[in-house]
Amino acid sequence: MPSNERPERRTLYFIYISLIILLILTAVGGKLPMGALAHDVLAFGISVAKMALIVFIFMEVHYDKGIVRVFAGAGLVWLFLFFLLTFSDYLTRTWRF
Amino acid sequence: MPEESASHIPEQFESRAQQEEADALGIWTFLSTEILFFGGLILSYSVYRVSYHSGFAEGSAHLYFWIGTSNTFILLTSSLFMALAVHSIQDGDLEKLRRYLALTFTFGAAFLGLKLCEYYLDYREHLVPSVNFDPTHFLHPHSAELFLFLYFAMTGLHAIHMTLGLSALTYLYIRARRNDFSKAYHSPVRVVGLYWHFVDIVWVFLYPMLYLINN
Repeated sequence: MPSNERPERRTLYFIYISLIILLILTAVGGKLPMGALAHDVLAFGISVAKMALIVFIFMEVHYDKGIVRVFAGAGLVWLFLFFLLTFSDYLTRTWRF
Repeated sequence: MPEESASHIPEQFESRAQQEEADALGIWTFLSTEILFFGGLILSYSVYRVSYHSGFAEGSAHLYFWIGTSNTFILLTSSLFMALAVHSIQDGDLEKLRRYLALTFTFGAAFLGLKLCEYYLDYREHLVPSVNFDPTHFLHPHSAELFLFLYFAMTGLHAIHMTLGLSALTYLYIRARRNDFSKAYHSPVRVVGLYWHFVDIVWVFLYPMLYLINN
Protein backbone atom coordinates (compact mmCIF):
# COMPACT_ATOMS: atom_id res chain seq x y z
CA MET A 1 0.00 0.00 0.00
CA PRO A 2 1.49 3.39 -0.88
CA SER A 3 1.94 5.40 2.31
CA ASN A 4 0.03 8.41 0.99
CA GLU A 5 -3.17 6.36 0.69
CA ARG A 6 -4.33 5.92 4.28
CA PRO A 7 -6.83 7.34 6.75
CA GLU A 8 -6.05 10.72 8.30
CA ARG A 9 -5.33 10.81 12.01
CA ARG A 10 -8.59 12.60 12.82
CA THR A 11 -10.49 9.92 10.86
CA LEU A 12 -9.02 7.31 13.24
CA TYR A 13 -10.31 9.27 16.26
CA PHE A 14 -13.71 9.71 14.62
CA ILE A 15 -13.95 5.95 13.96
CA TYR A 16 -12.96 5.22 17.58
CA ILE A 17 -15.70 7.52 18.93
CA SER A 18 -18.20 5.86 16.57
CA LEU A 19 -17.12 2.42 17.87
CA ILE A 20 -17.62 3.51 21.50
CA ILE A 21 -21.08 4.91 20.68
CA LEU A 22 -21.95 1.60 18.99
CA LEU A 23 -20.67 -0.27 22.08
CA ILE A 24 -22.96 1.83 24.31
CA LEU A 25 -25.88 1.13 21.94
CA THR A 26 -25.15 -2.63 22.12
CA ALA A 27 -24.98 -2.61 25.93
CA VAL A 28 -28.11 -0.46 26.37
CA GLY A 29 -30.00 -2.27 23.58
CA GLY A 30 -29.30 -5.60 25.30
CA LYS A 31 -31.29 -4.42 28.34
CA LEU A 32 -34.25 -2.93 26.45
CA PRO A 33 -37.61 -4.74 26.74
CA MET A 34 -37.81 -6.24 23.24
CA GLY A 35 -38.37 -9.69 21.79
CA ALA A 36 -35.47 -12.17 21.70
CA LEU A 37 -35.28 -11.99 17.89
CA ALA A 38 -35.27 -8.16 17.89
CA HIS A 39 -32.41 -8.26 20.42
CA ASP A 40 -30.39 -10.65 18.29
CA VAL A 41 -30.96 -8.65 15.09
CA LEU A 42 -29.96 -5.39 16.84
CA ALA A 43 -26.84 -6.88 18.46
CA PHE A 44 -25.74 -8.63 15.26
CA GLY A 45 -26.40 -5.52 13.13
CA ILE A 46 -24.30 -3.33 15.46
CA SER A 47 -21.50 -5.92 15.49
CA VAL A 48 -21.43 -5.95 11.67
CA ALA A 49 -21.29 -2.12 11.67
CA LYS A 50 -18.37 -2.19 14.14
CA MET A 51 -16.58 -4.81 12.03
CA ALA A 52 -17.04 -2.69 8.87
CA LEU A 53 -15.54 0.41 10.59
CA ILE A 54 -12.54 -1.57 11.87
CA VAL A 55 -11.95 -3.46 8.59
CA PHE A 56 -12.31 -0.52 6.21
CA ILE A 57 -10.53 2.20 8.23
CA PHE A 58 -8.35 0.71 11.01
CA MET A 59 -7.29 -2.19 8.75
CA GLU A 60 -7.14 0.17 5.76
CA VAL A 61 -9.05 -2.13 3.38
CA HIS A 62 -10.80 0.98 2.03
CA TYR A 63 -7.38 2.16 0.79
CA ASP A 64 -6.12 -1.25 -0.39
CA LYS A 65 -5.91 -2.62 -3.93
CA GLY A 66 -8.60 -4.89 -5.38
CA ILE A 67 -6.68 -8.13 -4.88
CA VAL A 68 -6.18 -7.46 -1.14
CA ARG A 69 -9.90 -6.71 -0.81
CA VAL A 70 -10.75 -10.03 -2.50
CA PHE A 71 -8.49 -11.92 -0.07
CA ALA A 72 -9.98 -10.00 2.87
CA GLY A 73 -13.53 -10.90 1.80
CA ALA A 74 -12.80 -14.57 0.98
CA GLY A 75 -13.01 -15.77 4.59
CA LEU A 76 -16.41 -14.11 5.08
CA VAL A 77 -17.77 -15.71 1.89
CA TRP A 78 -16.78 -19.18 3.13
CA LEU A 79 -18.18 -18.42 6.59
CA PHE A 80 -21.49 -17.41 4.98
CA LEU A 81 -21.61 -20.72 3.03
CA PHE A 82 -20.72 -22.60 6.23
CA PHE A 83 -23.73 -21.06 8.03
CA LEU A 84 -26.07 -21.26 5.02
CA LEU A 85 -25.55 -24.99 4.42
CA THR A 86 -25.61 -25.93 8.13
CA PHE A 87 -28.77 -24.00 8.92
CA SER A 88 -30.52 -25.15 5.74
CA ASP A 89 -30.22 -28.59 7.39
CA TYR A 90 -30.93 -27.80 11.07
CA LEU A 91 -33.79 -25.36 10.53
CA THR A 92 -35.65 -27.63 8.09
CA ARG A 93 -35.38 -30.95 9.96
CA THR A 94 -38.86 -30.63 11.46
CA TRP A 95 -40.55 -29.62 8.20
CA ARG A 96 -43.25 -32.01 6.96
CA PHE A 97 -44.39 -32.04 3.35
CA MET B 1 21.22 -6.19 10.45
CA PRO B 2 18.99 -3.27 11.44
CA GLU B 3 20.39 -0.94 8.77
CA GLU B 4 20.04 -3.59 6.12
CA SER B 5 16.47 -4.52 7.01
CA ALA B 6 15.47 -0.87 6.89
CA SER B 7 16.86 -0.16 3.44
CA HIS B 8 17.29 -3.48 1.62
CA ILE B 9 14.51 -4.83 -0.59
CA PRO B 10 14.59 -8.67 -0.80
CA GLU B 11 15.49 -9.82 -4.31
CA GLN B 12 12.14 -11.54 -5.00
CA PHE B 13 10.42 -8.12 -4.97
CA GLU B 14 10.73 -5.37 -7.56
CA SER B 15 9.83 -2.58 -5.20
CA ARG B 16 8.93 -1.80 -1.58
CA ALA B 17 5.29 -1.29 -2.63
CA GLN B 18 5.19 -4.79 -4.13
CA GLN B 19 6.72 -6.25 -0.95
CA GLU B 20 4.11 -4.48 1.19
CA GLU B 21 1.28 -5.74 -1.02
CA ALA B 22 2.62 -9.33 -0.78
CA ASP B 23 2.80 -8.97 3.02
CA ALA B 24 -0.79 -7.70 3.13
CA LEU B 25 -1.98 -10.60 0.95
CA GLY B 26 -0.14 -13.08 3.18
CA ILE B 27 -1.64 -11.87 6.46
CA TRP B 28 -5.14 -11.59 4.95
CA THR B 29 -4.87 -15.20 3.71
CA PHE B 30 -3.96 -16.24 7.26
CA LEU B 31 -6.82 -14.16 8.70
CA SER B 32 -9.28 -15.85 6.30
CA THR B 33 -8.33 -19.22 7.78
CA GLU B 34 -8.72 -17.69 11.24
CA ILE B 35 -12.27 -16.59 10.36
CA LEU B 36 -13.10 -20.25 9.67
CA PHE B 37 -11.23 -21.37 12.81
CA PHE B 38 -13.44 -19.20 15.02
CA GLY B 39 -16.34 -19.75 12.57
CA GLY B 40 -16.58 -23.43 13.56
CA LEU B 41 -17.09 -22.52 17.22
CA ILE B 42 -19.48 -19.66 16.40
CA LEU B 43 -21.50 -21.97 14.15
CA SER B 44 -21.73 -24.64 16.91
CA TYR B 45 -22.83 -21.93 19.32
CA SER B 46 -25.49 -20.68 16.88
CA VAL B 47 -26.93 -24.16 16.22
CA TYR B 48 -27.19 -24.96 19.94
CA ARG B 49 -28.53 -21.55 20.81
CA VAL B 50 -31.42 -22.02 18.36
CA SER B 51 -32.13 -25.41 19.96
CA TYR B 52 -31.62 -24.47 23.64
CA HIS B 53 -32.42 -20.77 23.91
CA SER B 54 -33.66 -20.79 27.52
CA GLY B 55 -30.59 -22.57 28.91
CA PHE B 56 -28.25 -20.28 26.96
CA ALA B 57 -30.03 -17.17 28.28
CA GLU B 58 -29.81 -18.59 31.79
CA GLY B 59 -26.08 -19.30 31.43
CA SER B 60 -25.48 -15.82 29.99
CA ALA B 61 -27.29 -14.18 32.94
CA HIS B 62 -24.65 -15.71 35.28
CA LEU B 63 -21.75 -13.99 33.47
CA TYR B 64 -20.37 -10.60 34.51
CA PHE B 65 -21.93 -8.12 32.08
CA TRP B 66 -19.82 -5.20 33.35
CA ILE B 67 -16.55 -7.13 32.87
CA GLY B 68 -17.53 -8.08 29.30
CA THR B 69 -18.52 -4.48 28.51
CA SER B 70 -15.36 -3.02 30.10
CA ASN B 71 -13.21 -5.49 28.18
CA THR B 72 -14.89 -4.50 24.89
CA PHE B 73 -14.09 -0.85 25.66
CA ILE B 74 -10.47 -1.75 26.54
CA LEU B 75 -9.97 -3.75 23.34
CA LEU B 76 -11.53 -1.09 21.06
CA THR B 77 -9.19 1.46 22.67
CA SER B 78 -6.18 -0.80 22.09
CA SER B 79 -7.21 -1.04 18.43
CA LEU B 80 -7.19 2.77 18.17
CA PHE B 81 -3.64 2.83 19.59
CA MET B 82 -2.57 0.10 17.14
CA ALA B 83 -3.98 2.11 14.21
CA LEU B 84 -2.14 5.20 15.55
CA ALA B 85 1.08 3.16 15.81
CA VAL B 86 0.84 2.22 12.11
CA HIS B 87 -0.04 5.82 11.25
CA SER B 88 3.00 7.14 13.17
CA ILE B 89 5.56 4.89 11.48
CA GLN B 90 4.05 5.69 8.08
CA ASP B 91 5.13 9.25 8.95
CA GLY B 92 8.55 7.91 10.06
CA ASP B 93 7.98 8.88 13.72
CA LEU B 94 9.72 6.13 15.72
CA GLU B 95 9.15 7.76 19.09
CA LYS B 96 5.38 7.86 18.61
CA LEU B 97 5.49 4.29 17.24
CA ARG B 98 7.13 3.09 20.48
CA ARG B 99 4.65 5.04 22.61
CA TYR B 100 1.57 3.69 20.79
CA LEU B 101 2.93 0.12 20.76
CA ALA B 102 3.41 0.37 24.54
CA LEU B 103 -0.16 1.70 24.96
CA THR B 104 -1.58 -1.07 22.75
CA PHE B 105 0.31 -3.65 24.84
CA THR B 106 -0.87 -2.10 28.11
CA PHE B 107 -4.55 -2.19 27.08
CA GLY B 108 -4.18 -5.73 25.68
CA ALA B 109 -2.61 -6.89 28.95
CA ALA B 110 -5.40 -5.13 30.91
CA PHE B 111 -7.96 -7.07 28.84
CA LEU B 112 -6.27 -10.39 29.66
CA GLY B 113 -5.90 -9.48 33.35
CA LEU B 114 -9.60 -8.64 33.63
CA LYS B 115 -10.46 -11.83 31.75
CA LEU B 116 -8.43 -13.88 34.24
CA CYS B 117 -10.22 -12.16 37.16
CA GLU B 118 -13.52 -13.05 35.49
CA TYR B 119 -12.46 -16.71 35.11
CA TYR B 120 -11.61 -16.74 38.82
CA LEU B 121 -15.04 -15.30 39.72
CA ASP B 122 -16.69 -17.88 37.40
CA TYR B 123 -14.75 -20.63 39.19
CA ARG B 124 -15.80 -19.34 42.60
CA GLU B 125 -19.45 -19.39 41.47
CA HIS B 126 -19.14 -23.02 40.30
CA LEU B 127 -19.69 -22.21 36.63
CA VAL B 128 -16.81 -24.21 35.12
CA PRO B 129 -18.06 -27.32 33.23
CA SER B 130 -16.32 -30.62 34.16
CA VAL B 131 -14.39 -28.85 36.95
CA ASN B 132 -16.87 -27.58 39.51
CA PHE B 133 -20.15 -26.96 37.66
CA ASP B 134 -23.10 -26.80 40.07
CA PRO B 135 -26.34 -27.79 38.26
CA THR B 136 -28.52 -26.69 41.21
CA HIS B 137 -27.97 -23.03 40.16
CA PHE B 138 -29.94 -23.57 36.95
CA LEU B 139 -33.45 -24.40 35.74
CA HIS B 140 -31.94 -25.88 32.54
CA PRO B 141 -28.61 -27.26 33.81
CA HIS B 142 -27.69 -29.30 30.73
CA SER B 143 -28.09 -26.54 28.16
CA ALA B 144 -26.63 -23.92 30.56
CA GLU B 145 -23.56 -26.16 30.96
CA LEU B 146 -23.30 -26.45 27.16
CA PHE B 147 -23.42 -22.63 26.94
CA LEU B 148 -20.69 -22.30 29.59
CA PHE B 149 -18.54 -24.88 27.82
CA LEU B 150 -18.78 -22.82 24.61
CA TYR B 151 -18.14 -19.63 26.63
CA PHE B 152 -14.87 -21.01 27.99
CA ALA B 153 -13.84 -22.53 24.64
CA MET B 154 -14.46 -19.31 22.66
CA THR B 155 -13.05 -16.84 25.20
CA GLY B 156 -10.13 -19.23 25.87
CA LEU B 157 -9.25 -19.45 22.19
CA HIS B 158 -9.58 -15.67 21.97
CA ALA B 159 -7.30 -15.25 25.01
CA ILE B 160 -4.66 -17.48 23.34
CA HIS B 161 -4.82 -15.18 20.30
CA MET B 162 -4.46 -12.15 22.57
CA THR B 163 -1.37 -13.71 24.19
CA LEU B 164 0.19 -14.30 20.76
CA GLY B 165 -0.69 -10.70 19.85
CA LEU B 166 1.03 -9.41 22.99
CA SER B 167 4.14 -11.47 22.10
CA ALA B 168 4.11 -9.97 18.59
CA LEU B 169 3.78 -6.46 20.08
CA THR B 170 6.77 -7.13 22.34
CA TYR B 171 8.78 -8.24 19.29
CA LEU B 172 7.78 -5.05 17.43
CA TYR B 173 8.65 -2.89 20.43
CA ILE B 174 12.14 -4.44 20.71
CA ARG B 175 12.73 -3.87 16.98
CA ALA B 176 11.37 -0.32 17.24
CA ARG B 177 13.84 0.39 20.08
CA ARG B 178 16.62 -0.81 17.75
CA ASN B 179 15.32 1.69 15.16
CA ASP B 180 14.57 -1.16 12.72
CA PHE B 181 11.54 0.58 11.23
CA SER B 182 11.28 3.69 9.12
CA LYS B 183 8.90 5.55 6.83
CA ALA B 184 10.16 3.32 3.97
CA TYR B 185 10.16 -0.02 5.87
CA HIS B 186 7.43 -0.81 8.39
CA SER B 187 5.61 -3.82 6.96
CA PRO B 188 5.86 -5.93 10.18
CA VAL B 189 4.06 -3.17 12.11
CA ARG B 190 1.20 -3.20 9.63
CA VAL B 191 1.00 -7.03 9.57
CA VAL B 192 0.83 -7.29 13.38
CA GLY B 193 -1.67 -4.41 13.34
CA LEU B 194 -3.98 -6.34 10.98
CA TYR B 195 -3.78 -9.39 13.27
CA TRP B 196 -4.52 -7.26 16.36
CA HIS B 197 -7.58 -5.65 14.73
CA PHE B 198 -8.83 -9.10 13.69
CA VAL B 199 -8.65 -10.35 17.29
CA ASP B 200 -10.57 -7.21 18.29
CA ILE B 201 -13.29 -7.97 15.70
CA VAL B 202 -13.67 -11.53 17.05
CA TRP B 203 -14.37 -10.05 20.50
CA VAL B 204 -16.84 -7.53 19.00
CA PHE B 205 -18.95 -10.56 17.97
CA LEU B 206 -18.31 -12.67 21.10
CA TYR B 207 -19.44 -9.86 23.43
CA PRO B 208 -23.17 -9.77 22.48
CA MET B 209 -23.22 -13.54 21.84
CA LEU B 210 -22.04 -14.35 25.38
CA TYR B 211 -23.10 -11.44 27.60
CA LEU B 212 -26.29 -10.12 26.02
CA ILE B 213 -28.67 -13.04 25.53
CA ASN B 214 -32.15 -11.90 26.41
CA ASN B 215 -34.53 -14.41 27.86
